[in-house]
Amino acid sequence: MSKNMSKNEVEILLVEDNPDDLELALHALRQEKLANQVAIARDGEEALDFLFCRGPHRERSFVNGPKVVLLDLKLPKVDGIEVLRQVKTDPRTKAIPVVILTASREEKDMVNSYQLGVNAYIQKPVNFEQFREVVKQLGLFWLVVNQSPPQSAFKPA
Amino acid sequence: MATWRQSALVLGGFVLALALLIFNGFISYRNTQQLIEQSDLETRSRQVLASLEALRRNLTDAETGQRGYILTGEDKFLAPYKAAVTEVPEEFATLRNLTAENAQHQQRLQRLDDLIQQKMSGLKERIELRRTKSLEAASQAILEGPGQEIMDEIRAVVYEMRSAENEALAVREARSHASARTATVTSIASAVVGIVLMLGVFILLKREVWQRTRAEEALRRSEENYRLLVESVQDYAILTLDPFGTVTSWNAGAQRIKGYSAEEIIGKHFSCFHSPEETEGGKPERELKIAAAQGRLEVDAWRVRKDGSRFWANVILTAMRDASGQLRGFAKVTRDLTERKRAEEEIQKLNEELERRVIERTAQLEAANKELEAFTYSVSHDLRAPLRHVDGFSKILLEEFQPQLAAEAQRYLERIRAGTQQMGQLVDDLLNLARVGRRELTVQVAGLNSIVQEVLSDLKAETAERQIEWQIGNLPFVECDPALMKQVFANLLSNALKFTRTRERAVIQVATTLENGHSTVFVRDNGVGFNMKYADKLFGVFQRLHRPEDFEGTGVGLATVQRIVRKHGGKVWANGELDKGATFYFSLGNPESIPSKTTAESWR
Repeated sequence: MSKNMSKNEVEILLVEDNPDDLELALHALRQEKLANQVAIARDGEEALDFLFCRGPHRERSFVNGPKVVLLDLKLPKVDGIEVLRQVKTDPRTKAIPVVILTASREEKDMVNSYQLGVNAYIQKPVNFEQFREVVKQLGLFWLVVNQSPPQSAFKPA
Repeated sequence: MATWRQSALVLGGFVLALALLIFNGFISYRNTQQLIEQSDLETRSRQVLASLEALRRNLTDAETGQRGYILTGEDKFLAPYKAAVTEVPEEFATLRNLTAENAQHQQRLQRLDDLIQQKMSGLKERIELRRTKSLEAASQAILEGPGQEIMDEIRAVVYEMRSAENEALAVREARSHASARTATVTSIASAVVGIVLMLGVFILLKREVWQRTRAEEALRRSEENYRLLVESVQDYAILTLDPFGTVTSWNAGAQRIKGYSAEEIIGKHFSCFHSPEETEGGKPERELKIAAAQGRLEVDAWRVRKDGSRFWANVILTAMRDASGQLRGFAKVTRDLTERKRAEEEIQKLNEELERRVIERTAQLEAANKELEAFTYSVSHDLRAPLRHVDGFSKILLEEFQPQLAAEAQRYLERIRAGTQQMGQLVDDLLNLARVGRRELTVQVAGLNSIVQEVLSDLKAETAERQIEWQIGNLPFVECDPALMKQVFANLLSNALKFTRTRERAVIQVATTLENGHSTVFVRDNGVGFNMKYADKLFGVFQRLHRPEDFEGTGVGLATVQRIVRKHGGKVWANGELDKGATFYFSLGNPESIPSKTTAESWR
């Protein structure tokens, strides 16, 4: 487990299509000193490529999954719910913690997400200070407080 | 029964009268026979009397003639004597014949015969004496002879016989009179009885005939009435068929509905009312068969008029049987239901059209709903994103570039950020309002007190540093959607908090009261209140009675409250006075008429 803490490993996969949101999120992460090991995906397909170690990420190994995926719901190509579904139905990726970070407060989205096995659901606050607080707490929790899944949790297909 | 007795009476009368007639005839016959017999006997008696008289006259004439001859000696006086000589034996033979059955008369005749012989021979002797001798000798012989005595004796016998005969005649006459009287009486009596009997029978017969005639007349009249009734019915075709389906009667309604006149159709087969295809398929015969077997057949079907047009008919075929059960024919009643059928078809068509339109409209509504959902989704997601960016970058500007920014610029940035906050709240409130409208109620029994407590604990942050007196009454348990009911209280209580902000000590009361028999919940505060003039504007979307710098707000909260309460079948209203506080009431309708899923549906 201590191995997972190595500097080269990606700790957060941030899936965000909107450049402004992306910049604000990265700004917040930087302010909280959490921006070092952040991978960025700009749509659902990129996120899936990363998580399933294919395309540009074929060198990656399933066992070195991110400590948390911050997933927007409204995404180009493949939407967030579909990404979540694929991640949570595949035994190789099932154990990766996924946090939905979205503008939507629709009940339907929340229900779908939780039924697919999401680990947390957070609505992006409009107020930047509150957003920064959320990002800070997310980082603190998932990177520090939480015990990440052991490697054996990522079973090969 | 009466008729039977009457018939027996008539028969008995007849038999009796007939018997009387026969009896009468017999009596008459017998009487007539007797009369004939009597009259024969009488005739014979009279002949006997006449014969006796003739005999006596002949003898007297002979004696007289003899005396004349003796006195005169002239032969001409001998004529009576000569006649007597031939006539007396003849007369005597006649007498003997007539009285052959009378023994006494025969005896008398025997004696009379002797006497007549003596007399005749005496007469002959004296006539000879005169001729051969003289007048004196003859006269002497007369004087000395027994001639006078014999004559007297003959007279006596004749008299005797005449008397006997007269006597017998009288007896016979009396007998025949009596028997004639009896015959008359009997025949008159029996004739009278016969006449009476015949009269009785006649009266009886007459009465029976009269009764029968009267019954027949009544029957005929009643039949006539029926016929007129049936014939004059216009709305129904009423006709009769013989057992083989040939039309035997036809009314006005039949003519009106089917187009044939009675002359045209009577005697034709009723299959001409069916379409040629049905007739070929043997449907008319089948209908008769079924009607004969079941007694009655009702069919709704198309029928054909004379002009070939079709009409939708209700047909009732009834088998008519006589007392012995023999099929006599069919009564057929037909109604033209084309209009009704057309109306039904029209209604069906309209219904189908309506259904199609409902389906169409539902699909449209569903599509619109989906569109709206997509829209609100996109609003919730996309409308907020730029706000976040404006706020985020403003904040970063303020934080990281503060030294370069003039105080004025910093203030404007804060104003920008406040604007984004306001906009964010507005978006959230509007989305909530839309969601409330779309949402289906999840009804369950919930205690309003616990809902209020939940809301109060959510509001703790806002109430922490204020002096507030909460007066929470005993609230009922109601059937409601608890999540929505919580929104109602959240809105009302946060409003109450907001508008009592200027009060040193806020008093907020939540309790129930009875308004028009409905249990009503109210939230009362001692805040700034409002002018009742604007009461109707309170629940409109974006309607605000205060300036934003006095009391923040989006103007959506009370609209949301109203929508939720209405979805529960209730209503909401408010009372207030400027600077004296406000009271917001809401009822959930009758406790019995609980808002159910259907009413919620109808509210959508």
